[in-house]
Amino acid sequence: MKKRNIFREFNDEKWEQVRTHPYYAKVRESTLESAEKLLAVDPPYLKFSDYHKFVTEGSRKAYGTPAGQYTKRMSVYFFCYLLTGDEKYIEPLVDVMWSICDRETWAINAHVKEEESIIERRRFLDLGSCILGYRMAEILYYIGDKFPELAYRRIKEEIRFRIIDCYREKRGETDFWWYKASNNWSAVCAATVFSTFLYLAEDEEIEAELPRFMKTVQCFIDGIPDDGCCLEGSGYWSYGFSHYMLFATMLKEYTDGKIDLYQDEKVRKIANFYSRIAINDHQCLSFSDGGLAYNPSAWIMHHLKKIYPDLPVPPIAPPTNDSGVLRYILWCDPDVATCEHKLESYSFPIAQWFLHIGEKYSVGAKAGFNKEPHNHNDVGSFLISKNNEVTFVDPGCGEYVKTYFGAGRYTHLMTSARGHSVPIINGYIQCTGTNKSTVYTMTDDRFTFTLDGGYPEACRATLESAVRDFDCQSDKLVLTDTYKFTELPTSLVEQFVSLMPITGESGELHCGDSVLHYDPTLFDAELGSESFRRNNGTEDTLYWVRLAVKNLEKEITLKFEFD
Amino acid sequence: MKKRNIFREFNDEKWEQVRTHPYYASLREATLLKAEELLATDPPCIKFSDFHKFVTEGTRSAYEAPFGQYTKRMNTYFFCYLLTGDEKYIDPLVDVLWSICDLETWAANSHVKDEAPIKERRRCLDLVSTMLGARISEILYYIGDNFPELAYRRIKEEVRFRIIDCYREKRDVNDFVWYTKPNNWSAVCAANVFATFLYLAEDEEINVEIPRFMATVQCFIDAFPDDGCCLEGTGYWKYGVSHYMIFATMLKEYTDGRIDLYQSEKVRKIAEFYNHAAINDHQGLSFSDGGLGYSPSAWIMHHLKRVYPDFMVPPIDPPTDSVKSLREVLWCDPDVDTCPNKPGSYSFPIAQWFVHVGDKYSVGAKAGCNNEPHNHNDVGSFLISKNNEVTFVDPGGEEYVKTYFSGSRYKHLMPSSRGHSVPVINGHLQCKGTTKSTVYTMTDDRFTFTLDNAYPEACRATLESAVRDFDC
Repeated sequence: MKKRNIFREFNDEKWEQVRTHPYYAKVRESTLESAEKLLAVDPPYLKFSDYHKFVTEGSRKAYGTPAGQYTKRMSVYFFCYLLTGDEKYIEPLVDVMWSICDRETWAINAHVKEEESIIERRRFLDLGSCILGYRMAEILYYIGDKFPELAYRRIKEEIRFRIIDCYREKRGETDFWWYKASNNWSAVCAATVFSTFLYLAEDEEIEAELPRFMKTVQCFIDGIPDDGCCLEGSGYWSYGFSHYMLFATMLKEYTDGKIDLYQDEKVRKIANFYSRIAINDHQCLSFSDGGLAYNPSAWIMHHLKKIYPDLPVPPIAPPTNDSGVLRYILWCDPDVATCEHKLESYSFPIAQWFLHIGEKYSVGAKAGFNKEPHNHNDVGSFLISKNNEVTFVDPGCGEYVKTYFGAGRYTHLMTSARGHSVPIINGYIQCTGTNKSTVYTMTDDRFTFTLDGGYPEACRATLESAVRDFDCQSDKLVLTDTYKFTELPTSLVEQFVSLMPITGESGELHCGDSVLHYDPTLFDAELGSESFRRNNGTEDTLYWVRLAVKNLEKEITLKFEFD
Repeated sequence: MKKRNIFREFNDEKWEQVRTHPYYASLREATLLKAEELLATDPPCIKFSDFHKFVTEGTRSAYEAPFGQYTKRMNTYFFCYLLTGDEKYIDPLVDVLWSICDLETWAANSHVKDEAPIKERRRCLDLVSTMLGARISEILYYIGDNFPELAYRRIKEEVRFRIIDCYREKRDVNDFVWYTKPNNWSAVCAANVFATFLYLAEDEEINVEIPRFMATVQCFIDAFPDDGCCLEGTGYWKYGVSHYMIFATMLKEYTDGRIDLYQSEKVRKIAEFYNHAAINDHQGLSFSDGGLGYSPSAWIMHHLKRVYPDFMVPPIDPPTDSVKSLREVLWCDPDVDTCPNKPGSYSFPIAQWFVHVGDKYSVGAKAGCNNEPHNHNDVGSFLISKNNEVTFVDPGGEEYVKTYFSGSRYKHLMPSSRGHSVPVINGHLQCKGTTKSTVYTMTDDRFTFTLDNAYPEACRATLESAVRDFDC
């Protein structure tokens, strides 16, 4: 296999550091321990009936969980072999790669249609297959010469057939939708297929495809507003942008610095996104299909620091477990210069995301519209952090079942406006739509914007305007909603949600350390909760309070104070 | 899928008998019980490193054992579904078929070379892959319409790619050794591939290939001496002849009786072989890679009785364990006429196998040559049965490791003359060779023949003759 000057962190000196530096002690220890556990038992049996459950029950997990065990084994054994040079990892590594090669398709059951022809299913390029191809190509590139000849040959042929040759053959712009996707898919798929090419394909093959790859990753960048905000959610920044980095870095290396995508000002903005979204020291803006937990990844932040020396890198714990690809380890820099983890107010003016960091509390809020990538119907959604814990919340992502990405998406609590702190107007909840909010004010402590764009036509027929205003005062947040109707409304309900129980009565509701004050004479209050499933399969509960306005007028102003 | 008038014992009336007749009671019970056991656990993990052990350690069993668990599940669930109609067997059956379709090759690790191109490994036609093709296509033919569409389509495509299309494309006699092989391979592979065609291929495809199939199974028949003796060993008679029967029966059914291979006198002789290979009521001639256990199979013997009404069928216990193929069940006839189980003296004059059954003891002996199928260096080997137990013995076959079928075959005790009751002359063991013994006498109680032909040139330089005589 042709050795190329790529993945420059994969070198003897760096490996020596991984083997000996205290920074890596935990990852060494836990991965070796994990390997021993895995070596002692066979991987789980992969069943068609579990695969098929996506069709019969809409579930990805039944198959995804056992299938993931194979990927885990592959990366653990590979890393342990590189770490120790112990031959005992080779055989189980080859076994698990061989089994992966046995699979009818490498694609995730949610991505490839059952009606697709067998050959197209086998070489279907999606997030799952592209990542498998890349990981296996990397393994072959570095240690394939230790494998039995047959195993090496077969694995290589599978990767060529399923990934490289498929990409070369299917050149139509619509052959795979991600060729032009404006979300994480274009970055993830293009970066991993490109890496697979660099590891296994010939120079001419790579040269011929470069323009196509570059076009695709540009779609990822184009899908992000110029303020660098990742609308899909915080987790997707880590996922999508880290793959963009894989692409940009490999490309820069392969072209000996001639093509350097990192020089782009917008890319730089996007690189800074994750440093801007923390609401307290462990939680962040959880809009769309994001999550509340704030976990900057050392490998991403340290690598960005190498590229952008002035990027603020907060202190991040070293990697502690076998987390997958080699770059998780080799891109970390034990000696990186970190700064104090300082929270700052910040606004994304195009995305219309707002973050106020105060001394007594902090607030995150979004306007935008209801047709964003990984959209939720959530114009006006917000979260509050008090005493370093988020209380009122945007609940983030639900479980990825079949209907979550289908026509039934908004029947799910997490994506529906029902799962967000937004009003129900004349019985209408928000719906999908492209009307973007008008922002009247956006400063560090004030955010005022229209809400009415998030509601259906029928609702807007009598709703002249709805404006939400966040006024971040030093000791409390004052939330004011102002409605103007052309006809007397029949109902108006304000809703606030949390993952913590909401308790209390008579104008004073407690949620964690936050207290919501309102005039109890103006509303009929109703407390309730609804359970839902997280993407890791666990059950969670969303608590809500609904405040129904008693005296309906054509013009209504409602005030709520959170302290 | 086109329904054809084949496998005529697969009919409602017969299934009603299988479901209710006391003859099948223990089989029903044992198989349903086995299924419950299997349903409760996942099949073992099939590993490349186990497959590869044939290369690294020369052993087949590391891979065969877990692989066998898949075919066992397949057969068990299929039979249980047909028996009970219970849908609960469908999911696990489809799962196991899907997993088999995942396998890089369907061939045994001992039959397909590591160096072969991946595509040719995937569609290598050997005993195992063709067996899988026949079983899987049978399942699709009968109950495939109960499968999820994707599973049905994929399984069918795999069978077509690996078996049907491969056979149609690889037409040269040298493409696969078994196209002309003078042993069980030609019967087993041709019968399996033919069955696969009948279950899944189009009429024109079948009609075009019939002459090729027939030429191959004829090679199986040609390999037998005209006395019908199965030189490979008794177990291979069951294996090879039962597949020949599947072929002959399906061909007769498919052609509506126009082609009936059973009419051949030699085939009839071969059919009788097993009836003459017993030495007492539970042991038989164990020459070559045979075994000592004598256990006629009900499904084979009963079907032969259907073909040859005057065929002698000894009493045989009904099948009690899980079955490998449906014919092991449906070819049995609970109401078959049997004769007493009494071995008799018999001689195969061309093969030079001799059985004397006496009142006080019995003897089996062979002359022949040392270049027979599944050869052992065993000219003059014999076994004695006393009080219904074999005492002095021909030890039969041993574990099939890589060297067992290689230049080192005779390093193994069983194929070597060291493992047989034959003399060591001037320090020389017997060796491979095509010179056949001269038989001087062969009656029910006397067998006299030359031994010297079995020894190496160097030995025979000073050995004028060596004659062995059994006087019963």
